[in-house]
Amino acid sequence: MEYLSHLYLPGAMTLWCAFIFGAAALVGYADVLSGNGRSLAFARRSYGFFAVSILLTGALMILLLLLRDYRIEYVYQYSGNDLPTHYQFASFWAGQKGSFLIWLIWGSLLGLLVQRSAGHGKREAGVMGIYILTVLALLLILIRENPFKMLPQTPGDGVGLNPLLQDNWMVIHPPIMFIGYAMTAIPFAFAMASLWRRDFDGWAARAFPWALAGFLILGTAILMGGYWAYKTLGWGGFWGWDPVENASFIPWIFGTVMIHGLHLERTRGRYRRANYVFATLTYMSVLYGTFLTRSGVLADFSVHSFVDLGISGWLIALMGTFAAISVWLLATRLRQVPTQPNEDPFLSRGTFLVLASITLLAAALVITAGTSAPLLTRFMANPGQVGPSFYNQVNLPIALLIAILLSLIPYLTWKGENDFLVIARQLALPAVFATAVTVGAVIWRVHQPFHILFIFFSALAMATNFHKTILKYRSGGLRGAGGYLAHVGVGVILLGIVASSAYDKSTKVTLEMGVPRQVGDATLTFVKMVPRHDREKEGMEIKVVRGGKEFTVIPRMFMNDRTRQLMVNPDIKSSVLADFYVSPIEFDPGQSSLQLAKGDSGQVGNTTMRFVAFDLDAEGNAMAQMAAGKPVVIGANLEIVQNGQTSRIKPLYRLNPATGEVESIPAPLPGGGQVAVTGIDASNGAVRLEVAGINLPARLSIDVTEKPLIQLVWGGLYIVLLGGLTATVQRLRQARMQDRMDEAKG
Amino acid sequence: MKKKPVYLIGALLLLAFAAFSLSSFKETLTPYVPYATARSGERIVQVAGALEKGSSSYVSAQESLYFNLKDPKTSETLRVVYKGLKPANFEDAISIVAIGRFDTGAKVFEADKLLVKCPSKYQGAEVKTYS
Repeated sequence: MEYLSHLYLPGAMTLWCAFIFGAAALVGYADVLSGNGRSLAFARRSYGFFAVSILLTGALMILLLLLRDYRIEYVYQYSGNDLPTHYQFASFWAGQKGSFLIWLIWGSLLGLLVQRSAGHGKREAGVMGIYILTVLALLLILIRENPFKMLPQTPGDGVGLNPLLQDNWMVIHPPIMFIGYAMTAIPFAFAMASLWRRDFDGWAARAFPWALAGFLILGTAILMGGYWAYKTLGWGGFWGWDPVENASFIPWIFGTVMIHGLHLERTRGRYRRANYVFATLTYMSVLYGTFLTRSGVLADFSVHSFVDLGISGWLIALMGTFAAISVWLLATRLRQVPTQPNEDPFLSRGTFLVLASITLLAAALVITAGTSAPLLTRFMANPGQVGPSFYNQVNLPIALLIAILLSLIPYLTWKGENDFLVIARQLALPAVFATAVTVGAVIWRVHQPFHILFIFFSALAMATNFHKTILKYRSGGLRGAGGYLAHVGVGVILLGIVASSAYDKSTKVTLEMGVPRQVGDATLTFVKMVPRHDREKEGMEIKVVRGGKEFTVIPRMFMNDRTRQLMVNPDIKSSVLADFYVSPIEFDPGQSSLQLAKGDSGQVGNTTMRFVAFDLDAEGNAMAQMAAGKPVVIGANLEIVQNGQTSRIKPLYRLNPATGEVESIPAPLPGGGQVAVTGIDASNGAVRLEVAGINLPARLSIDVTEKPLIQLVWGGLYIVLLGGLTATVQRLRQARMQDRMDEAKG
Repeated sequence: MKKKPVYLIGALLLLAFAAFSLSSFKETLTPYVPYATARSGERIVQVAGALEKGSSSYVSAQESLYFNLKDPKTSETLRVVYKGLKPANFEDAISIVAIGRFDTGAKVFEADKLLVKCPSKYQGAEVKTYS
């Protein structure tokens, strides 16, 4: 029982109860599948208890966090006495164990809905069987890496939450991401159950709204993550092709391919085999991304800070198991799925959808390859990684192709009866719009031919889909317009990405307090420090005069109280056409006194000084003077670097032990000014220095960036998500219809 | 039978794209190399190491940061220059990754990008990227 004594019993119990109920539900559904329909009630009830147990586990964790019960290792690691209540929730998912727990909570709750939407009897049993396997896998990881582990002693305060995560976006962004992750398991379960039971019809209709909802939620989470990075991290971008970001983006692309495949299956009866593969790829890419970012395989690269929790083996086993199940089912059953021969002519919607799917798959594959670069090159002489330039290079032609395909798709018909002339006539008006946009862009500053092409087709895609959205809306309301609306958004995003990332203007400047400085067409003045107020950290007020208008930005830069980490918060002045983005890089308060331990160096103005050592023989031996009760003289050997020139000086410090009188004998600096020793900390071997004669105004180094049309990126994503939402509502209706049809059939 | 050429063009396009991505993968792949290999200056590489104590200096006139990277295993050092502002908390860095190319003329590694890992009490250290 030694194992249990390290665990918080109620938490461990709820996890084990969940496991037992989950296993019982699995057995129950298996019994239904083997023909005993009466076990259905038992299986459902067991699953209900399973979900309740998981919910209790989550509630317990929140309670422990709110009570700041530092007996629990996880609470100790991520919470602290001064952490406000709403950030206790961010602590919940700040660590790996908590992330798996929130994933599991969503997974188990979603299961209750899957149960209702999976059809009846054996259908439900098949889908739920696979689905329960996916949630039990998460549960096993949590039982292995128990979040309720207790510490041998109870500390008085926790470590606190990483200050980067103390942001309102971080309270909501991760849980939404994990709903998205949990949702990818649903179409997978539908697909696998359908293959397994050779019940090839109907799964697409039922899985479709789930696939769309997953796309929506994952997309929302990605949007929030990008916005958080842009708004708080201060490196100026919204997407850095970081493995963690890619781990959410790759499933989103696969998910996008899947919803188009399902759409094609529902409307045209095509893609019937491919959709099984898409559903598998979407789910497997979530597992693979989790493995990459949480197993520590990338940690060897010292670039990303993922720590191996000792679950790599489990994650590999998990991936292996589901890969084996899906490959076996795909290999043995896929051929039995009836399909229709492809007879679409080239200029038809079907062919173009196939092309678009292939393009998106290519994007997902190259991003996966790039993210896996450290793994792929592991066995080479010098393993390496690829940077953002790889992703940008490779994805630019893909995005262009997508824009071209999107421009034409609205005017293509399924049967392809329109010849090119008819399509061209419809394209005329949108083409005028796209040309106008392109000419505008060229006049503005775009001269790179590839970018010109890109802008033209992005604008064209926007226009043609907008035209079609209006036509659809007029004929049947929002129903059926969702897809086109989403595609309008894609065009808008592409325009925004190209304008804001390829045509931004960034300047790094150092502002001296009170001295105006010209940066591009703006004049910046560092006015004053804004002191700390409540939870608002100290900031630097900068007055900007630009085009006759005046505004103030207050970027912030402060030392985190707990961790002594330097935190940076940019400030953004947004307008419709461009964001004015100011991010602090370095702040020099112009302070002229500094404390240095032996060997340390410090900077004052343009002068770097390093405290080499005390000189105890500056004017006779200090120890002997001390013993004799005479005035003691100690020197401080300093190494000075000024304008690349190194020199040595030795200011003296005289102390009369009898009277307590202190005298400081400064040493001149080679470039003017002087340094005096104003205090000695003998126990730490440190010295306090006062620098005089160097003019030291406070200086602030900032990165000023103008980001043109970045609003299009956010706005476009909102349009995509709105389109997705419209489509989800519509497909949900159709899925219900499928239910009624099945019921009618008996 | 009319469709054959379409498939052929598609396959060719895919092949071209695969070749293109492979070449940019190879081209942009920045391998981790020992200092000796980096000194050949043949391509953009990454070097990792610790900051040699007291070796860093910032030359305001050039807006450049000079420092020595030290390999913790072999104690070999490499002179690095980074054109840009000095990263915050630079002196506290526990490890630094520099991405760039060795200038064989000036005998210094010119970093385009620095990844500075500072000690952190949190799970994993805090990594900041400067470019």
